[in-house]
Amino acid sequence: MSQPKFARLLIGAVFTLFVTAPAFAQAPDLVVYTYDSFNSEWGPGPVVFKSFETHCGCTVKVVAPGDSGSILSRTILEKANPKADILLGVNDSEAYRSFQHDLWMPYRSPNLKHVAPELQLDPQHRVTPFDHGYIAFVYDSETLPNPPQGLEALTDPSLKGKIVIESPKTSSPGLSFLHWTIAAYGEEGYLDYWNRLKPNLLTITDGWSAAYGMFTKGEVPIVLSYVTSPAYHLEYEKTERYKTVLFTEGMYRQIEFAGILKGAKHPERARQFIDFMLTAGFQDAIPLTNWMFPAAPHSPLPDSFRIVPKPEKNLTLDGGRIEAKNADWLRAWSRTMSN
Amino acid sequence: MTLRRWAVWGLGGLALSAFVVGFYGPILHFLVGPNPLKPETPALSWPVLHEVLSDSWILGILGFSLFQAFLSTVLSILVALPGAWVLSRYDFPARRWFEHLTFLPFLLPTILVVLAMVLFFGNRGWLNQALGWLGFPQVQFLYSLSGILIAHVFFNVPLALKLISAAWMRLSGQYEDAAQMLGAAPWRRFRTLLVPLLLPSILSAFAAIFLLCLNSFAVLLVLGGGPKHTTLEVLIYQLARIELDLPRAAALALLQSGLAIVLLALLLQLRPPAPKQRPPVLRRLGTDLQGKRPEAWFALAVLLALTTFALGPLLAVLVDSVRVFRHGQWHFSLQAYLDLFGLRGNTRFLDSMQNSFGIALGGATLAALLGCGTLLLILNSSKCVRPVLEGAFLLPVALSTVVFGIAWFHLYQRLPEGQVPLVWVIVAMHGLLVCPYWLRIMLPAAESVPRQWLQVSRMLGHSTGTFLRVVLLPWLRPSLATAFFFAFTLSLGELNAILMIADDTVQTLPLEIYSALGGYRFARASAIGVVLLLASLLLLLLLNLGTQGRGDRTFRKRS
Repeated sequence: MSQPKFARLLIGAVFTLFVTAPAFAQAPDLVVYTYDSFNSEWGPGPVVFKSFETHCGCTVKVVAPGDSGSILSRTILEKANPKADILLGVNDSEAYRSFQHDLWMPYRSPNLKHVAPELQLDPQHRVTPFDHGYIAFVYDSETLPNPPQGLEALTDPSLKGKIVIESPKTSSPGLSFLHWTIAAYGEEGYLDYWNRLKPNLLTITDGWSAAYGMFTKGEVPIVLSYVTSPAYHLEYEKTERYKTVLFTEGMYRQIEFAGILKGAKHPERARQFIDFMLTAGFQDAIPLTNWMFPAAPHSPLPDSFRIVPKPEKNLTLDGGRIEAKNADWLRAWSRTMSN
Repeated sequence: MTLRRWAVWGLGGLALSAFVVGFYGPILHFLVGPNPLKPETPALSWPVLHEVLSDSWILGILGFSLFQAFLSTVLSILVALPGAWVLSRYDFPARRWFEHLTFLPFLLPTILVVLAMVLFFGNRGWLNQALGWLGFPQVQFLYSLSGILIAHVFFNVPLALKLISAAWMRLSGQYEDAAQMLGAAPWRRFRTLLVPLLLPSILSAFAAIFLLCLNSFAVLLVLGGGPKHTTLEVLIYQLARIELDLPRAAALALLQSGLAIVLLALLLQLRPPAPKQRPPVLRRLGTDLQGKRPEAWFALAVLLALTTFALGPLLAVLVDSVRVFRHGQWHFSLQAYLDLFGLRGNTRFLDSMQNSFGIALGGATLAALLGCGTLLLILNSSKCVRPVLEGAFLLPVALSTVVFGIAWFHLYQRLPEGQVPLVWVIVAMHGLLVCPYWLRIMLPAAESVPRQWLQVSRMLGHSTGTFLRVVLLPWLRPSLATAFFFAFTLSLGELNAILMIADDTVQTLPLEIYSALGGYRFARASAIGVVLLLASLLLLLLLNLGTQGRGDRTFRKRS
């Protein structure tokens, strides 16, 4: 092929690709921001947004680039000129950031009556819980028959280089784990704990995916994940090899929230969505697609959840304290861990 | 001469204005304006800058960032040198494939490469299993500085190889012959002759690789073994993306990129006068092997080692894509591919693929267009303006893409929605971000064009157009193809800038990979990676067909 012919071919290809790129759809009736895996093909998104569209007879536009931390940051930066009506998927460890930047238009849904009071953390109803779960250490029962039973046991020298966690600076389970250690050891003791834990951490990853990928590829027998992770393996891989333990110190809960953004262009629809979020059409999809517990359970949990232990003892940190102290904690943590 | 002046002013002006509107404008607007989140305070203030500069912990991190980037770059170049020698000397079957195959890691989102490195080099990886099988003790390759270096060398050797071998191939043999006749030993010839002659290409490779390593993120965190090997880029990411502490992020980004640019702009001026050039003359590797020449066997060994090193981790991605974990065991399965190609009537994956390739082709084309302009400006600049220009055109890659994304977002978010299709905006961003790499590949090639050719061609009565078509284009064609493909791969893998502005109309393959990984679908993520690689190889095939023009073939025939 000669050069000009090739160049023409290439330009033609580029042009075709653009001309056929998706054109602008008609203006949607509701714009939702959420994190990427919520709206993946197997995530809750395709089910719950579709059923909301049928329910309201309207169109929903879903924008889902990046993890929950990224989409929250983007929403904060857009605050002056909001493009979305709803932000869905802010968890309690990072919610303080949304409060600091005054993102929300409060709304108290009548359907909150289906939600357990301990999940309703925000008395002003700026955000509404839609699911919850617990971060937990998942282990490979084949290579580690005697798993650690508590935070303290994780520091045992026999586990040297056998644990992978996510960084609290860049990942939401990582941040919740930092908060867990503060809840368990107090502000005086947590850095000490991390110093003891350090030799056992093979590495600290930027996000959940890298850590969990290392775990399933057999590089480490213990990973920081969620108490519901074993249910995924049971449901899709028919194996009970991956398990989790309830820690003696108590477990740390993550609650996921959604809320209506200040300056939303479709506030009425947004309130309708928040109401819908707490009905069976949304809640029943959560366990097997988002691998969390529904905030307003309408049906029994699926069978694969039998492998998930139900925590009795919970540790929590006060939201106000997180808001005030988080930056300092992270700074102290960074400096401790880089020594 | 008029055509040339038109080209310099037209293309150069276009490139300059694109850099001003697309890069310097948003960055300056962001830096001198108020903090977008707290309008009553400035985005960049002296107290913050002062605080950052007097924090020994941050300075330590800055030092380590520069140190690891320097070490990674030097190692990449050292590993690439034997390979560049082979490529400058021998022709062998699949030579062009070998040259291009090694770019493939850049196509994949880093996280996939990181997981592939774990599968290949990890404590329980293939290499360690092989060692154990042979009775050797286990080696911990990763989770320390060595892990960072292995990964960075893996990523960057191909680029060094490409740049250095291109220059080496064109070096006139007469210097070497003269030195040999004067009795210089091989090592001395290498050190005092070859290295200085190759210096422009080595420096160009150094600049590009150094900046890539400085901005690397996931590799450092995961393979470096956690926060003990943290770099400034990680800190900037956390401040800009998570804490939204924009003043501090801006101060750090400015500190890091400013320092890097000054260093590199100075370094790039260390160039000797252009040596004499020649069309490449290659020996046939097969013939030399049959002739039992020892250096031919060495060349073969170098080729095999580089291929294994480059393809091993990619093979790990392939293996990971064709297996499922069922009932506690791994099984072979093509399920991930069946799912992708929409047995359930789902076209979402195909749409993402179309978006990705459209954006990357557009980005690379734009980068080439702007690159031509920057190239002409640099080549026609005076000695004192040149370092400034080179620095100015490198800065977009030295600056953290997270900060660039925020600055862009901040300036352009007020544009009424729907005015410009988002996909064009993203193409523009990618074009600007990858243009500096295009320039780094093309600059040594363009400088190697023998000066006398233009005069000779003029004496023969050729017009400038004929000179371009008959002389310049065939000479530059291989480098142009390399530069285009590299720009394409970088644009395809770029993620940070897109995260800030993407919506449902620009879902791309890297975003698909991240969302697959985020939902336990590891095999699917690897399968998308494999499809991405294969589709790019197909494009490469097209590009190879297109660039094996007349000029190229005449060069080859002389060997």
